[in-house]
Amino acid sequence: MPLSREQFDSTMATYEPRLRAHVLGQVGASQGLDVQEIIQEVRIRLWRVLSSEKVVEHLASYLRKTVMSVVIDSVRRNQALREDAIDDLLEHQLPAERHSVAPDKVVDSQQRVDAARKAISALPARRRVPAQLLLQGFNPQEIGQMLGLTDATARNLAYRGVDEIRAALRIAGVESWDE
Amino acid sequence: MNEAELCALQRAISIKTGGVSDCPDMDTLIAFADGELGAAPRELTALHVAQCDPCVAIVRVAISARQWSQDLAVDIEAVPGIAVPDNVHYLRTAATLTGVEAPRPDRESSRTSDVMRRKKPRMWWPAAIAATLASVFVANLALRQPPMEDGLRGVDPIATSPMSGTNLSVAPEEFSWPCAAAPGAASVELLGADALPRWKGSVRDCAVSLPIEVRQDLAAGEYLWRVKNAAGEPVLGPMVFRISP
Repeated sequence: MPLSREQFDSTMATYEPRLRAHVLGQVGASQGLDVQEIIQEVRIRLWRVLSSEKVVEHLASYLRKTVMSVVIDSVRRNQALREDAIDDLLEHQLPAERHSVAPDKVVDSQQRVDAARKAISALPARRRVPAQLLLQGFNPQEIGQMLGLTDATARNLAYRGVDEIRAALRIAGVESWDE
Repeated sequence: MNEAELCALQRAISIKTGGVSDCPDMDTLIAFADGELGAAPRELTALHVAQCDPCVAIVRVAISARQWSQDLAVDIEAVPGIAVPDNVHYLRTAATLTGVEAPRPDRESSRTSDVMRRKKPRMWWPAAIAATLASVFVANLALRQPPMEDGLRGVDPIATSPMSGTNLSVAPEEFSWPCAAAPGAASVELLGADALPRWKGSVRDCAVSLPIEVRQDLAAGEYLWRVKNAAGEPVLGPMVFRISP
């Protein structure tokens, strides 16, 4: 039997704040996504299925994939917008603004990025991937699960990798922004 | 250089634009987030995710949405009128707590197994003799073993109190377990069959007492309890018990 509108609304009233806070909070900010729009889209897609006679096998898995496909669509749209914006910037705005940014700042930033790229690629793969995932914001437990490692091993490899990146940057003369 | 600056540099060298069409598909990213990929695809996916901003976001959503969707599924299936057999509901509740996908009843395969069960083995006695010899051998081995410490037994839900699957006439006064079965145990969580928390208590000496007012409030029905560490991660359980006065 499908869910009634009241049943759906009352169930979602409990879960939408959690979706907003835990699932999309950080991701939305970092990717520039419109969290409210995503929640509305998730709600619409779930209502279409849960209010119908359609039998959903593995409901938890279905719900998770619904959220993820909405997020992926949103990320794609956002990427396309960013690319358009970059094209627009390169075509129209950049030549005019080229002289407004101090050349030494641009060179300094580029040097930092190049040095970081070099330091990271010099790491052995066993430490490089955990270190990069750590710097991307995953915790050692999540890294361990994703890479099939114990928490302790993931923690050890990731932090050793980060220490080595830091040491390589120091040798390359890249210091803290504060220094 | 501090960690925030390193993170900023990592993000600066990540793929920011145009990469999504080359990214692994959603099912691969979900399997990666759950640690279910084989070694070779895991390595490839990890290399990609480590330097792809959009995929980092998608994997992060996959991790966060896992518990959310399991809890929501349990609640939807608990809505009156949504027909879900009791045993399936319990299995799904347990699955929510353990993070393991619950098995689904498969009518076709159960019919097949019924047919298979009706077939009696014609040559039953060699199997019976072999089974007897095997059990004598195992018993003999067990008698020769020195007594094991709790730490060597591993996680054994049967060694808990109340034991998993127990029928009780009244609510238990205490939850306890072998200390080695739940390293870092810090709290015990008691949940109803609907997976909603009913009570939480701090652990002392691998046991925790259930306050009398909570015991009095527990009506007849099925309950689950699990042990968590200080970070709130389950380290033992869930164990199930039923109160049927």
